[in-house]
Amino acid sequence: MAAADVARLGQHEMGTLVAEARDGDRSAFDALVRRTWADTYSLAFRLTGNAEDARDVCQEAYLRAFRGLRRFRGDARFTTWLYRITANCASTQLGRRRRHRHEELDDDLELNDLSPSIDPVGRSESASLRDAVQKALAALPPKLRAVVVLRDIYDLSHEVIAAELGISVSAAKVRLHRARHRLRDDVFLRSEAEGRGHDDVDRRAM
Amino acid sequence: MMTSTAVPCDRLAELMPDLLDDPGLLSSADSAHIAQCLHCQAEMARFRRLRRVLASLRLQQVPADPGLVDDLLEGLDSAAERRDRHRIASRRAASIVGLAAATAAGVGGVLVLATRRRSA
Repeated sequence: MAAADVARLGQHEMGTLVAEARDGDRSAFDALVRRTWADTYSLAFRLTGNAEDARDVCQEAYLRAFRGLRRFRGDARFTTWLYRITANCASTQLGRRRRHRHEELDDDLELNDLSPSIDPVGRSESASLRDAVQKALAALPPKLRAVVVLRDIYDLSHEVIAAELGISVSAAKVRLHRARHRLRDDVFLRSEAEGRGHDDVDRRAM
Repeated sequence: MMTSTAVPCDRLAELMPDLLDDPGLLSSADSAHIAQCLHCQAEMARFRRLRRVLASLRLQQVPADPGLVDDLLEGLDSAAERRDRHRIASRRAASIVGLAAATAAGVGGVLVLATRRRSA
């Protein structure tokens, strides 16, 4: 079966589970949690930058989803709805954290590639480039990281991002602009400068 | 071949991150400049590559403690229990209020009847 067919089938099953959960079937909601928790945790980790906060955000996101499932109209995918809730919870968590302690960012983010077969373009990008992007992302200030993660990784619209982070659409766009510039500087310009540095050293050594 | 012309290159460099969402921001003059300018082409390629790598991260999951899913489900169990307890308590409270209101109405009725009989 083609990857697109598998994805469609998965989406259909998700739709059935969502409908059953909305009708009060608790086991259907549990099945939704089992299907989505790893993805939700990944988003929470990318937004908060640490495992402890990501766990808290996940817990809060599923509680809110459980309480608010009757309000889910089904005009968006369940996963997109869950991303919005997770983004909102992460924004709250980061606000709380800012009030209590300084930022701690984990640069040593380890990754599991779970679906390489349906990502031929992404697979062709070098592992070192992905690592560089991950490190640059982790080094961004949380406010900038949140918009670029939600827009460029999870493909949420500017309007949705602004609504979930509690900022204006224009502020979301400004943050995205800055975040992309910083990532470009960190990922490409620094490595190109380092490459030129290595070339100079090699030339001097010859 | 043009490699760089300071003013359009600087202006376009500032525009590049936004072009990923809205290519319509480019005027035909800008497009013509980019078609000839290696500097701008390289810059555009960097941003497009960055966007591609970021999009590919969507398929990568951050390793999580496998026990997390059980914790999440336990959290939901507790929330559901709390909600059920709250519902039962609310129903009980409503019943008590209803009973109290009915009793008060009954007593009121008896008092009104008694007052009318006495005055008659």
